[in-house]
Amino acid sequence: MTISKKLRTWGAAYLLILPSFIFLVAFTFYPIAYSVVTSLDAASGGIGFGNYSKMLSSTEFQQAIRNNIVYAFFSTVPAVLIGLLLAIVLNTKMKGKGFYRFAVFYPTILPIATASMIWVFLLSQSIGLVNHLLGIMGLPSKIDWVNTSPYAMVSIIIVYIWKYSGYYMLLFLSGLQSIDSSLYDEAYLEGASGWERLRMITLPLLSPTTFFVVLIAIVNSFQAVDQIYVMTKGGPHNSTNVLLYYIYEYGFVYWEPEIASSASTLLFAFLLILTFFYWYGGQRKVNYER
Amino acid sequence: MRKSIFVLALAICMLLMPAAVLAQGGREAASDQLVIRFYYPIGTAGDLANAMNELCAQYSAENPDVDVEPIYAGDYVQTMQRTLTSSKAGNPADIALLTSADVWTAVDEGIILPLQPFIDSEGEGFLDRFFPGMLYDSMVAGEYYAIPFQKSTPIFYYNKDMFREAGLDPEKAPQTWEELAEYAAILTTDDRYGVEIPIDQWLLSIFILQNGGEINNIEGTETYLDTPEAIGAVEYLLDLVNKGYMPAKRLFGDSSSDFVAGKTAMMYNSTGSLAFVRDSASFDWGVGFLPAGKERIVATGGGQFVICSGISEERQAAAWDFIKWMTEPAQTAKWSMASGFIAVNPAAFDLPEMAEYTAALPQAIVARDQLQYAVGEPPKTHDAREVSQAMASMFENMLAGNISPEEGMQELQASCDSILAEYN
Repeated sequence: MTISKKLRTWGAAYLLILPSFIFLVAFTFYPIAYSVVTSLDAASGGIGFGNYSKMLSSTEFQQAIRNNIVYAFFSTVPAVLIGLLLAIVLNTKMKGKGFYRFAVFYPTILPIATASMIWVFLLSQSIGLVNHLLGIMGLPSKIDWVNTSPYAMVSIIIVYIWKYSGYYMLLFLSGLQSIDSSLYDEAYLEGASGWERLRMITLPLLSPTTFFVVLIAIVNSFQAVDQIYVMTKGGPHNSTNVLLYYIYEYGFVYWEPEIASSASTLLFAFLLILTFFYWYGGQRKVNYER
Repeated sequence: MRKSIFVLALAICMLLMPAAVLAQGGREAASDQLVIRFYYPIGTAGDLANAMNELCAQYSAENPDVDVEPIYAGDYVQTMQRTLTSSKAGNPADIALLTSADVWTAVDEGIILPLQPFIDSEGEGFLDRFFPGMLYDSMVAGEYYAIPFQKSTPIFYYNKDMFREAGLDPEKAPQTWEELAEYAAILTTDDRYGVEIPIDQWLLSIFILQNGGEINNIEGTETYLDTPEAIGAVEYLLDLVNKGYMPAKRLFGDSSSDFVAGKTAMMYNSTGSLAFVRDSASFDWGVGFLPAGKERIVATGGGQFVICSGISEERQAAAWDFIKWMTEPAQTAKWSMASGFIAVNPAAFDLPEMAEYTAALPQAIVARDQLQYAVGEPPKTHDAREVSQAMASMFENMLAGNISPEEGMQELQASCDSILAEYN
């Protein structure tokens, strides 16, 4: 390939990505850089970590971090497991599986704010369906879900699981369907039990999907803000305040952009490192077909 | 070659698209007409945007050289976001309708004008058109920066049918804290609370004020939340919770749905809920003044007009004229009937359409009469939203029984001190 031809081919490619690149720079890269600058007080000349130390030493921020870890763990693990289980069940030859797949998937279609509002009503202490059902089963039925700790955290976790399990199910389902069915037939002829087929064929060959699902599940859980805004506003007494809500509050309610920028920068760095390690660490253990 | 020309053309089109969209935007105004941009929030449900559009259109019809463009900006928080970001970007709105806490922030950020010169230009007595209790929220550290427009206040709601069942006089709401506790004890049953009080800084402040305490100094640089009066107010409420007469936490919306569902016999709620309760309650209900502590005091809340700085004098004058027009009896009456907010101009209540409205909703008169005991929307400090959040959050913590009122209020005072440290 001659230089001029190369230039023409690549030049056209760059020209085509230029419009979206401009937007990316203007609305993503520039704000990221500016938020780092703001967090370091660099706009005023000197560079300092005063905002970081002020933020890190505040109990509210420490609590937001703790809450976020609790939230990430207890929402990600069940949602991924439920998604996997549903995918395996709905991948078998069963009657009406189209209906069930849709039923499981449909919370994904709802905007999260709508889903949260629905759950606010379902979880209402006095008129909610959840307490009503608990009452019928003879269980404690006067729980004030979204207003008392620790139930408020449980409530936002329930919404996450309800909202995202169906989506993870869909991702797992597509992973399952790309597994060559002749492998199962062969294993069956060799006398492998259902459990052995799951453990020896399905799970290993599904690992690229699992890898991807777990990563986005964790990232999703650190990006939670809508259901918290709608359901609890971080309360009661900060027990459901997580990082992104903390950033929102400091940035757009209290008007302290330095603190919000510091928290954003930390969150950004954390997610970047997480993704990096997960990607490179995970790649060696993941079983790719090709 | 033809292909690369095509690609080039395509790329250029994509680049130019946003420019084309931008060029198209913006409202066309007659060249000699002044377009005044007005950011307003809607805090309550209803067909309010239409009512606001009608009011602005009516003003523009009466004043053909000014076109007031009402811009719905979300809730109060979002309206402040738009106002502040527009001003910081050098493209200020002309008028905004802000809640009290944000008026303080707007002054601290230097984005709104002091209004005393405008008030002076109207001559003596201009402010007499307002209920005096509604003017507190228009001041920052004792100076006028805002003009009241949509104001609400908490009132006491009770279920008259439940009063009758329990042998209480259905025409008499509890008058004091002691009576409230007694009534709550009588009215509490296995499946309903005696009373629900939405827990936030607004109502907590009212209890502290009623107990003879204070929230902050007039400069807004100090709070007084660890006084015996403040602690006593929390102890009173905690006692109601501990005895099972009221839930530890309810939001305003939760309380009104509980009230109409018969899950609570009495509640504190905003006048903003009057229409909802009227339309949803299937029982006989009434309202009264908030029960008095050592003193009878009630807070107000809601939104007030501000004029943004950085606009021409011509625009300032037009903005002021619009604000003046909007607070005349007819307009305040119209907005009050559409929204449920209390009309800020007492003369509105003398209009025939308002008389008809209050005849159908006599509870609105109780809210008006209670205004003689009104103060502003506490806390009235710098960084008021942060102080409010600290108050509401600690209040939740104390009523949940996680920390004693004494320790809780001391801790709260310490956090308020550190929030306000930069202003001292």
